[in-house]
Amino acid sequence: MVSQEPLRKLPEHSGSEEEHLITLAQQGDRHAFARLYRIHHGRVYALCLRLCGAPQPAEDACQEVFVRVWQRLPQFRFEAQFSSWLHRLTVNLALDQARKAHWWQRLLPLGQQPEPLTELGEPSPLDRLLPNLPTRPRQVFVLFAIEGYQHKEIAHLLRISEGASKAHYHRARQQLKELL
Amino acid sequence: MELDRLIQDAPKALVPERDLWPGIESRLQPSVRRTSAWALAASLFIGLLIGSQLRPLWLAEPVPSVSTERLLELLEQQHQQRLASLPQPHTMQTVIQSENTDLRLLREARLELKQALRNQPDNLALLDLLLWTQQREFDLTQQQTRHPQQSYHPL
Repeated sequence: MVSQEPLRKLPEHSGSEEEHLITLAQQGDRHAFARLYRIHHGRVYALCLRLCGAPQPAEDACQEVFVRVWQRLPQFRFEAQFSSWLHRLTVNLALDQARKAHWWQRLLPLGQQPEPLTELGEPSPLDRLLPNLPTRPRQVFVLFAIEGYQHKEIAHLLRISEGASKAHYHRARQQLKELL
Repeated sequence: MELDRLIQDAPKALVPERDLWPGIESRLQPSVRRTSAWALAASLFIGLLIGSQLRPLWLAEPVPSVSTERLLELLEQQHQQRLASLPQPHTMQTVIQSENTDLRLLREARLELKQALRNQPDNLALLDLLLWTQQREFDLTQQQTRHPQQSYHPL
């Protein structure tokens, strides 16, 4: 088990500037919304890529997230942090996107993928390995080890039992260790 | 451990291969309408009404069939026999010291999977996971009885 600060939300930007952008976007300002996209798209895409397992569905999911954000932004009341709200929306939509894959695709590892790069153009070794895992173990691993969810929450999100979540996590770690 | 280091170093953001903004922008509607409070209340009422009608169906827990119970019993019996066949550690202290997180997690997972199988007896994926979990628990236990003094290295 890795002891690390759970991510659970997307990184904060300067609070007041972000609030201003959100308020403008709520009133229909596309430029403000484009700024919000530029601030958050890297984190949203990373989450989508890790949960969907391949660039194409991850790009589709990422676009869908921001379209939904635009549609739902008027209902955002600043009661929760925007980053947490965006994170929840992203996880739900990325998992929906992954569910759209054919059933047999979920049983197979995705194999060779273009190497994902960070915003600084650096490769990410963990993200090079993740597509080698089958869908379920990968999603459980991402949510538990990287995003800091509990097995109970993962079980609810993925509609599996808590025991299945723990077993998938264990299996994913074992497979990743073998790949290293 | 290398895997734990990779997890800690995992970047928070990754860059998509193409610019996704034009595709998003083309789908943004010019006006953003707020949902009417009445429409929201009406849909909530309808949802609750439908939900209250369906509730007894949701709550009806499947009764595990005799064959499922028997299968789980046999699997458990077989698993315990295999574990018992392993050489016993010299002292109880060794057992306590060698107890590790992976084994605890696997035992918990095994019990929860059995319960899940009682509720979904036809779920082959659950059965597959249960068998895999039992095998993994056996392998780890065997590994520990062979090298009881070895310090624990998580997977």
